[in-house]
Amino acid sequence: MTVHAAEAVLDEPPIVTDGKTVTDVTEDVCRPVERGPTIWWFLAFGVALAALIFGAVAVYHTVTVGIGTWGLNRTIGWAFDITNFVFWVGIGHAGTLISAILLLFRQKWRMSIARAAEAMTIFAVCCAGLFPILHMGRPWLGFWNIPYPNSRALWVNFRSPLLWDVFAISTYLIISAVFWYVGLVPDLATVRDRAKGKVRKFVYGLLSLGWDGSARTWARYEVACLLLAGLAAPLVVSVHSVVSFDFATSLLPGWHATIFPPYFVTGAIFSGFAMVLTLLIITRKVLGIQAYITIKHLENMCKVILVTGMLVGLAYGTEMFIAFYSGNEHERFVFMNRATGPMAWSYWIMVGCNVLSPQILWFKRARTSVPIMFVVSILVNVGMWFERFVIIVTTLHRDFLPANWSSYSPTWTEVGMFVGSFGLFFTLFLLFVRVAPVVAMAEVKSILHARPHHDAATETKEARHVEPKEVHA
Amino acid sequence: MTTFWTKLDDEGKPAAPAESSPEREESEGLLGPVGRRDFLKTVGFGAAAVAASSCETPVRFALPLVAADEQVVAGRATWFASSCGGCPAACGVLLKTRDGRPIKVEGNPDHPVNGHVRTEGQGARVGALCAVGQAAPLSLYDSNRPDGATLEGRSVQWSELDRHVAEALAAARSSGKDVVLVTGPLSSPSTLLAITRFTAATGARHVVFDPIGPAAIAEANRIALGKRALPVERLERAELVLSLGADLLGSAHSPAEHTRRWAVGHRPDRRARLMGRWVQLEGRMSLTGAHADERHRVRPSDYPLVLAALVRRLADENPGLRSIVARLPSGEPELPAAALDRIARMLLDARGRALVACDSPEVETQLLVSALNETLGAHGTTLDVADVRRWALPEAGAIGSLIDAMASGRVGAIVIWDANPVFAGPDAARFRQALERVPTRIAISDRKSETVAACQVVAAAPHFLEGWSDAEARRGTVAITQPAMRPLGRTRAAQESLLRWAGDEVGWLDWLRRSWAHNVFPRQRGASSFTAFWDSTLERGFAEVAVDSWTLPDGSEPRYGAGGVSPAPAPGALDGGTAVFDWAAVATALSTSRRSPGARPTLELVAHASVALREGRDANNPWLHELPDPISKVCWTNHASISPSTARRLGLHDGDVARLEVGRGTVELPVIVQPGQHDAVVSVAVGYGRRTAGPVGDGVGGNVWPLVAGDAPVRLRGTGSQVVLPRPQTESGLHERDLVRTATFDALIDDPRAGNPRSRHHLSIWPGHRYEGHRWAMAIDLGACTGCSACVVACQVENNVPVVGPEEMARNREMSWIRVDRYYGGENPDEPEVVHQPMMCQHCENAPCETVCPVIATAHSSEGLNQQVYNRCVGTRYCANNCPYKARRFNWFDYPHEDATARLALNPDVVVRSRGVMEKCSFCVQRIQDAKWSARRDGRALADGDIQPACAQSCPARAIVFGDVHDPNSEVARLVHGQRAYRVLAELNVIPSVSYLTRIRNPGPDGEAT
Repeated sequence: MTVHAAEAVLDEPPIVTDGKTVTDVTEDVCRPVERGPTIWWFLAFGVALAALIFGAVAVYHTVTVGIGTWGLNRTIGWAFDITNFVFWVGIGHAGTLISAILLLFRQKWRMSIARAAEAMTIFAVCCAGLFPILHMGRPWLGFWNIPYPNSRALWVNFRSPLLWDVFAISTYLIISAVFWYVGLVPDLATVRDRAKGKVRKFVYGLLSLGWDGSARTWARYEVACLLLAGLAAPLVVSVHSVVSFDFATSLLPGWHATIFPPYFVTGAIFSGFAMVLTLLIITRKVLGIQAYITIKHLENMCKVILVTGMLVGLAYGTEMFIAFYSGNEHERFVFMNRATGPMAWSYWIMVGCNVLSPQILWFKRARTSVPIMFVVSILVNVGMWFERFVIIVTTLHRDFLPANWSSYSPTWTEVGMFVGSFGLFFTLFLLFVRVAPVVAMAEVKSILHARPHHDAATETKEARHVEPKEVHA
Repeated sequence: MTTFWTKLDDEGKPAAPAESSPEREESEGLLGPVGRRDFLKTVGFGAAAVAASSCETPVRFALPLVAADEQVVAGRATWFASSCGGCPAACGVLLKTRDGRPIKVEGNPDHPVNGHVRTEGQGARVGALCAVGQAAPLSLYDSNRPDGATLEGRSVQWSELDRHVAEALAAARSSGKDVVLVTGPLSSPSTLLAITRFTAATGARHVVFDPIGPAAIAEANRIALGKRALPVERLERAELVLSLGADLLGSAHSPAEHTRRWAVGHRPDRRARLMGRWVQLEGRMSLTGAHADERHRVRPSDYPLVLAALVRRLADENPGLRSIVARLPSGEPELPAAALDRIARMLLDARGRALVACDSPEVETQLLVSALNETLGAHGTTLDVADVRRWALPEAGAIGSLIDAMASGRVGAIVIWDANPVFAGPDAARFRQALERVPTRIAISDRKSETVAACQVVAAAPHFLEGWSDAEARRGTVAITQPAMRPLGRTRAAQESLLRWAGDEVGWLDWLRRSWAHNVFPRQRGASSFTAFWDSTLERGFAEVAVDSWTLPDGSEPRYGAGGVSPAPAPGALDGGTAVFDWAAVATALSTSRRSPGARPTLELVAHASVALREGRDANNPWLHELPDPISKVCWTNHASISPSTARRLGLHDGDVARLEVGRGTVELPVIVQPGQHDAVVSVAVGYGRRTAGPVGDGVGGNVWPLVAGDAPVRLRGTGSQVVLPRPQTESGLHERDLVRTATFDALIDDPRAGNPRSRHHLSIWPGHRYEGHRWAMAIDLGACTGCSACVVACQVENNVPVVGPEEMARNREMSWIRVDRYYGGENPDEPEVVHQPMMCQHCENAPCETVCPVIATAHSSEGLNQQVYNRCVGTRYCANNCPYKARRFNWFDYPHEDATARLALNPDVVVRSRGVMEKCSFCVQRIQDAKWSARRDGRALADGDIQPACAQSCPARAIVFGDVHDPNSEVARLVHGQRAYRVLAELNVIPSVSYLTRIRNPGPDGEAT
């Protein structure tokens, strides 16, 4: 490293602000886990649980009565169900991107947000996974999608993108969950070490897998994390590519497009970051961890949103252009119909939210203003939901034979399942912030030294360069 | 004697049998020693066994297979030849029965009415049948039909009912009051004989009631040709048909027959440069008008003026015609003179091969039609006046005088059989009121109706699928209607009721056989005994015997009751084959009926029969309600159709509810903006708005009959409310897509590929499927298809397709496996070119559905079928999304088959699908398998035409042809490889197994301009 470069590193603003010490990190992060829940938590949990119960009623109604309780028809076979599926899978992308890809690229600012983002990923994939099961006419036979030896001569169709989804989503869920859990182990050990009650000590003891904080343990931990990051990194690209094959390998104009894999991956990162932003803005405020998840973090995420938002916009433009350039009358019609047809409102919500609203993030003042970025993040979430809705419903509702054309409006059951998925997501997330450290303490401690203008007077007894072992001493 | 040892004793020596001592027997009993425990065990076991055996559900109804009917073979169908009772056309049918119950009605290919047309040429022989005939099984299995004998709402014995009726009829006669028998139109000669017995014995008057039928044609023929009869339209011989409003191919009398014949006449013959041309002038857009080669919008009140204008133009051709010119109605029609000139010229050019038809209920208008037909030489060529239809048709004014008689209290008793005058007809309200003044009201019916509800005495009659009758659809064809099952309920043939009330204690079948033995058997040649003749007739379904006069079995001439005239054509000059046209009589009849032309009203009401429900007799049949109207595509309701510019003028749109008022009659109906409708015409189907048809039909649509009477102005205005119409097809434009290919006949003569450019050949690195045996394929001739939708009902019956009801239809969740897409083309929305395109699973070679199913629930067969495996399907609906034809149907709910009676209509060869699985057209794979097995059993190769999927079998136009495309001599191979064949969405390279043939129209050399 040249001197110049080293100086540049030293000039970097601190990632963790307010002069937090190693002790502060432990105290601040463990506090929500060790303290009783606040009234805000109860309030939020109540709302989330209510939404989840509403969703459960909708699911019960669907499973007992039939898919006929939805607004689908012979022309439109998917709408809210698969829209929600792709939406949640997309949300689930940011976590792995932040923890795996940014880890491999050694982006240290990721450390404060990685834990929450990973948790979000897992919960989002859980929500996503529900919809392909519940959208089936006979969900109780959903296990027929799994190739397992049986005496009924049942087998799966390896040519079907839906089957690829089964593998992609389950792989993604497993790798993400393992990655997340392995990353949690040292922090769970911290909670264990600080635990007062017997039960608490026992539970966290089990969960921390006998972590002893030895150098050898740390070394193996680091290697395991790197290997898992290496495994998870390609999934960031593959999962949403596979999801996009559901559409790209079909023959419907508006679905049958080679642009779909990169377009979907970009969109997934875009929506994932927006969701992380939404969540962290609330979490850092509610848990009082603004010093760890700083404006700088939020600004970085805004930059990612701005870039991916424009990539998504480019994809919209490319789709339009290719539709006209191809000379395919069906293709042209579908895109004209999206922009000007009876469901054009959904298209323009999508363009407005996804392409126009992030443009405000060109301005530093907007990028560093929490209210503005909060609104933008919500708009992007809305827009990305509508992107999937537009792709699915506006393609289906007017396809090849005009005699088949139809229209769509959702029923309360479909809305209920959509709301319920948010209920499930937030219920899980709220439980998560109560039982596990929401910021990766061990990792964050490793970057405390990066503060170039550290005030010696406030320095604690702990060394600047923290040996991992000392954390648990 | 040898003493046998019983056992070895302890020392190994044989022991002698123990001597029985009375003491031992006493203590041990014959079973050996029985202790207290053994006793309890035995008694306990016995009691338990008795108790256990009584736990079994008692078997109340069992079919002992050991004593089964010799015709009932498990798993195999038995077929009976019969005649359809859906309307008086009496098409020949074959009834498919399984396990002793009829489940399918199909046209009899050999029957002269609806069978193979002689000039039809090669190809499989299949019998035509319309949607109404196809739907008959569900009218039979209707759990709401009347049952047994009912007196004042009380179920009674038949003997009590007979006693009551006899007393009532006698009382009416003794008090000097009339006895009246009202029936629907009839084509059964033996039934008419039975009616003459009844009228003679009771002094009753017979009134035929048919508010929308072709009686005026028969009346005009009485005046002009001296014969009150309906001639047979030989459309296969016609080169030009001019129809004024007559929906001959859709909802008029005998539509299946007309369609079958016209399909032959309209077939393009390039070599002979011959193809029929249909010119339709009409106010509403009818199915016939949609199929016509040339169509002009003419308001119905102008029909006489159009006919008069044509008579004037053709007057020089025939002195007779000139003689009536002076008596023509004055005034010029709205139709431009140039168009009239053109039509007149075309008629003259086609002289001897032309036919004019009109649906007007006015006799004087029909006289003009008759005069034109005479001038054009139609009588004897395109109009068969020798073998006329032998239908009993209503007399003009008969129902009006009956109402007057009832209202004035002159009618003492009325018997109404198979007619619904309380609901139908312009005078229904008056009839209902007048009927209340009749002391004894007797209904004979096989279904519920408003009339049945208004009668005190109800005698349940069997449905035509479970009862005996005969039919003489036309002279020279006498047919049998035979039951395909034992009657479901406690019914008695209507004829038997009438005979009993006339004092004849005779079974109806005996009477029928005697009638045949007396009238038909002596005139036939071939059979030596009546039994042999009867049996062979039952086998064929009909006999080709001309019976010119039917007499009663005892040899006496049929005598009609008080003042009654035979409603059926009596033998006369016409039967000889030569018709003498009485111009003087026509002129006289016209002079009495000259009308002064008034100002044309802004709106005229056209109340018409619908293709599915006709005049509303089968209003409790859900299959017919769910059948979308071939033109408007609306089902489960009738609607007011208005033209686009009228809709603009009135500010109405599709689905707006409008109030239609004529005089004091008013009805609220949804509006349909109908391209091709005359601006001054509001058209509404009759037969809807039933009150007591049964749970299916009650309250569906609005009753337009109260609006039909009178000359009051027609008013239509929106109510401000809207409904979502049960309408599976909402988009009617083709959006410049190459889905339906059309060409004119003239272009086809020049270029056999006219309008059908070759599709691009797609390259593939995959060699494709290999089909080594059969390769099933289908060809659909869009030029022949009229959109009549008989195929849709046939498919529904054959494949147990559930009925989903109006709400689900409004949500576009129809389940039918075949649909008929209807598109409007052309530049002018007022004069659209209408095309119909039957659409079902295309059984693609590169099927998009097959690749996307994750659980292999849809797979490709070695014979090219795309097979859906219901019990493997988990219901992702991905296949349906990926189907470019949207031919797949998802079971959104558990569609119930709970009605135990309706369930009898299910086809046991086709599984009933459960909720959450996908289904679709299977090319009737059960029929393919059945035909293959039959061929193998008979040790022969499968012949072309052995396999007829339900749609192809039913098609009256023979537009659908199915077969093995690997057999180079098959009809389907010839069509698929022909120059007119194309595939829909060929550019997708899915390679459908269904090919379509270009729609060929024959508008004539200068017809394109119109």
